Amino acid sequence: MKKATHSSCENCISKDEGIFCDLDIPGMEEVSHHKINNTYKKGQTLFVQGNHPFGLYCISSGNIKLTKAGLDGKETIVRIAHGGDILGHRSLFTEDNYSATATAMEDTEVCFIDKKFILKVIEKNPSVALSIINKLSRDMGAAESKLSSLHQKNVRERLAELILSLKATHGVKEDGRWKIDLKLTREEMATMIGTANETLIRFMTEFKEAGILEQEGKTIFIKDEEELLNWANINY
Amino acid sequence: MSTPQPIKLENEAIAEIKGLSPQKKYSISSPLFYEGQVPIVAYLLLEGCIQLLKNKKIKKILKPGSLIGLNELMTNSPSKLSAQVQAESTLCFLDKSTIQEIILEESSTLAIILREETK
Repeated sequence: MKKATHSSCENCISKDEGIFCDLDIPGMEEVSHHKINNTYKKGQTLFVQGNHPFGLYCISSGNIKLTKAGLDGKETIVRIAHGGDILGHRSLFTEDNYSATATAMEDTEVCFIDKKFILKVIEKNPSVALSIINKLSRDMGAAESKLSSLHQKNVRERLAELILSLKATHGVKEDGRWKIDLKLTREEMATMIGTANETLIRFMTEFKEAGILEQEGKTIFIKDEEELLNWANINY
Repeated sequence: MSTPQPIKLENEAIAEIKGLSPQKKYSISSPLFYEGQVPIVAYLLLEGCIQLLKNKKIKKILKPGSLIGLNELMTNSPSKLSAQVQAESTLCFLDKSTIQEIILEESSTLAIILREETK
């Protein structure tokens, strides 16, 4: 059977933000030849909470939501990963099953590298290990911030903080406003800040009436970032 | 695109794979791979069933002892069908690195099958 062509890491649009950015060209070619490149359509799952992990996923383009199901079956978004992010990296160092479900939020291009191969790459190229540690550290920092935010901040502050963090990862400057085109539902946003749907709607209205935000469908625009920072009660 | 052809394995080869891979029970029905995608590992069904689907319609139901996704994985060929494992099924897995190691270094029954199937 004729082998399909491999998409190259060297041409990946998220190469500079990925974990292989410091590899030399032969090193990148080796990874490109071994990895599996797939496109996941909106709503398709990469992996399911509780299932066995096989290796590392590198997101080339698109957004992936990581959700955890509670005992009541309700899903909470714990993270939104985008181009350059990796998923399943904890499985490289532990035997734990996936702690969340990963679902494509739009058509998303993702590469997969099995655990055995990535560990060999790490052995040969310590820069890859450092990049993974960097990602793990950022994840941990974000988790700590979220935990303290849930304990110490009110819903208004948490919503402002969420919008600012979405701006930092997914925002695009457009006509003097920040556009966040993630198409999150109100319910999804509510779970991300640990509040009820109705409460989120009430505060979104308040933000819009204060001239801080605008909304077109599910797309959010930040009009007044400075005021949003004040409302979030944080200093970047 | 290729249509996944399940390989029916005999007990000797199944035992070899069991020695190489952990056995995992799926508590809920889960997608293994979707139409148009390359499977990320090859899957050996030990108990339960795997459905092969096209446009959400069942085309085939695999029985225990079936190895699926091997050819697509090793030739980097997208599958024409999706595969969905049913709840309470038990699977073993072979990743690309392990398959390459077996093909290159071993002379077991499994190695002969893998060499033949990935020619």
